[in-house]
Amino acid sequence: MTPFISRRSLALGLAATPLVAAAARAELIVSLDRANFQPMPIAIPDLQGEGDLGARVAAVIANDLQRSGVFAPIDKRAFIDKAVSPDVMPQFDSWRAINAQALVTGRVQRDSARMHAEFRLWDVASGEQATGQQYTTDANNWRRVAHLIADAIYSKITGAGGFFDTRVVYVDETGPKQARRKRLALMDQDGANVRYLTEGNELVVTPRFSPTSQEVTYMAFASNGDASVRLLNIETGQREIVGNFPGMTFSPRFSPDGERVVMSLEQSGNANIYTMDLRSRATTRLTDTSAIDTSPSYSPDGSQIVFESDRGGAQQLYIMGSSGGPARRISFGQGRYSTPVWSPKGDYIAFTRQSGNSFGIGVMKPDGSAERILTEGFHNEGPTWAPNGRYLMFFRDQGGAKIFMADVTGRVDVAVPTPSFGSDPAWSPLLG
Amino acid sequence: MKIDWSEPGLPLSAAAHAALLVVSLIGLSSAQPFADAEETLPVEIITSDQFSAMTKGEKTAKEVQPAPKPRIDKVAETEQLKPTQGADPTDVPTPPARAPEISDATSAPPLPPTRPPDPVKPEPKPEPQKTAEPQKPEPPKVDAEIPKPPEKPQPQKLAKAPDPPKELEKPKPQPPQFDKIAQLLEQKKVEEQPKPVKPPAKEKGEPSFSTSAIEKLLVSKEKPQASGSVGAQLQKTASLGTQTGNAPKLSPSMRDALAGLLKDQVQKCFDIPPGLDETKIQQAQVRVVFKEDGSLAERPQVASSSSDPGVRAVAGALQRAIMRCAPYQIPAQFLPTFNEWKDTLFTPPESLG
Repeated sequence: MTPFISRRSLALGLAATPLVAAAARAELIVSLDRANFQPMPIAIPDLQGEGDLGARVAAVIANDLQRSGVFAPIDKRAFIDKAVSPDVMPQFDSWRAINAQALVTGRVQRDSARMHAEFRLWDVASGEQATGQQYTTDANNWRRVAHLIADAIYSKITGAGGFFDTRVVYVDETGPKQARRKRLALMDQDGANVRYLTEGNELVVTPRFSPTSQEVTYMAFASNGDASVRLLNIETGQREIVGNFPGMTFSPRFSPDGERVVMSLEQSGNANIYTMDLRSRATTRLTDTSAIDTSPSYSPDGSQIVFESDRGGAQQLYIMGSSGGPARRISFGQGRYSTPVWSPKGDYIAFTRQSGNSFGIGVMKPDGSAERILTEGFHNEGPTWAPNGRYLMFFRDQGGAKIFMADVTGRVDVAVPTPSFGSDPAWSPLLG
Repeated sequence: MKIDWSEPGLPLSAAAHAALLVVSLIGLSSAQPFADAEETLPVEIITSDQFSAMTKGEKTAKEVQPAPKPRIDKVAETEQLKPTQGADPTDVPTPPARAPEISDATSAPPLPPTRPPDPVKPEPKPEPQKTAEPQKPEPPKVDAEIPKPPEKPQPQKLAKAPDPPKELEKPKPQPPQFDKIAQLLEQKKVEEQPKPVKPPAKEKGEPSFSTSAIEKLLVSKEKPQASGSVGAQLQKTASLGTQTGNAPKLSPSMRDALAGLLKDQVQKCFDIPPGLDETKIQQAQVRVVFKEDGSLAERPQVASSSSDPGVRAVAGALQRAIMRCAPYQIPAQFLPTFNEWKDTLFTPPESLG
């Protein structure tokens, strides 16, 4: 026993030594005072493999990384090394020559119904492998594999969690403006693999993903005007009605543990916030005011709820405990604030702000400080967070609603392609 | 030209202008000229201790010692006491030790005179030195590993000739221990090349290689010719000194200037992806070891122990930036102080915004 302990303490001591020595030895200290926000030039040659599968996987990875704003994939035509084997050390000089800072090599293979993929991310400056992984999956999942590789690369470089292997549920809008057909649709976060979840015979709004499962809750309005809160499992297609409530119901949203839904119900001109336990179906009233309280959203630890209310005259954002009680106003800027959504990281609350004729999407800290408008224009609305808390999707009306993605710094603003008009996006958790 | 006094305008005007001109020449000439622009020189006030620290010492030291002491080859016959530093804690330990001996011997008063010898006694341990045969005593500890060295000690520099260089090559590691060896080494350096063949050719008068001659020298009881440095205590290892102790030091203004130069060069390459977590960014420190030419001696190392992925990401970006911008332009004026900036720590900005 004793030798074991001593060996372990020796090992710990050895591990700590270089760090201590590093600090002790440094003679000159250089403190930088700025950094340049530049996407990292990355070379993503086609992965080796049968047919064009390697090229297709590489294209999806490159597209993901480019849209994140963190990377700038280099045009393949600039490559000096056209074919890069994942089994040999790359010729880094030829990648440095085209200013690549990172290089991705890999291989994809199909074995009947299975697919095997592997990749390595190289740090071109040091010539060292930064990360590498392999995946085996169903052959039809090649896009997911590409998203997983993109996530691994993104996480390695930024230190943040990935968000490419996710899906988005949104309201697909077709038909003339006066008689829009609204269907619930599901797509990959990059706009691929669109499929429709409802038929379009009823109006659907405000879909929200469960943070813990592949379930969606949304509002459905039947042709006779009856509103109901629905629950839909997107894997099994199973649907259920959470409840039919007298009067109007708005903006249902899951609690972080996925066991409750918080929403607002309208009664005699007022709207108050309620929670419903999905197992017992018992509802609890959280606010009791003569104002309109709506759009509730839980903090990630489930201890607080942010919501919008006009109790002070105009719509503003308030925070209260998750079991109700006094609310504290957090928004004090110009205009009206609505649709607050708490970031999965807990550090920001996203919102829509209407000021004059302009609608902006912004973020602020939960104490109301550090408010920042990320995008502003004729009509922007309905932010939803990526699972890593760094990106937001929202819809922008430009003669028809389209979905866009922005990052919390406001430096990224890219369209998410959808086959037709789309609104009310809701981001899923990582598919895992 | 006649002056028409019926129309005195012109002459009066001319006279008035002339008067004005004269008055202005006289009056304005006394105006204070602008002071000449003076070139400013950065001046720093340092203490005499700092000054001596900057100028004394050995530049050729091979190894840094935490508490460098001056090298002493021989015990001085008359002790050179430096009473000025009575309060110096380093002096304190010795006096108590002597005191008892002295008191035993005689009365208290003689204390001062007796002191000198005392310091010598304690040292006797290193006796090997006193024997004056620096050659043999050599490296008592290290010898076991390297059997060849014994020959090299060639006490006489005469041996400069052919053989020494060759054999000296191996012993290199031990030179710092003795004067002679050090001298031989230096000679060797001067002679440029260890090629044993050349030296003999040049020096016609030199005796040819003879093992018996070497043996003679080895057995010789002659006192070494080098007088060596003297002091109150023998200090064999002191010659290792410290690389920084005696070397020129970076003054604060030079330090700032160099840090500014490096900062500007690294910042050009410090590209980071948008959206990083800024809360712990200052922890992402990177340590760099430079070569004298401004290139990197090794891959920059992350100095912080944080395992936070955000910190690692910023540190990774900083590492890449430092590697991408290398080598660095470092003006020649900083070369003498290389040891002061060889190890440099880079810290990221407080916020990335």
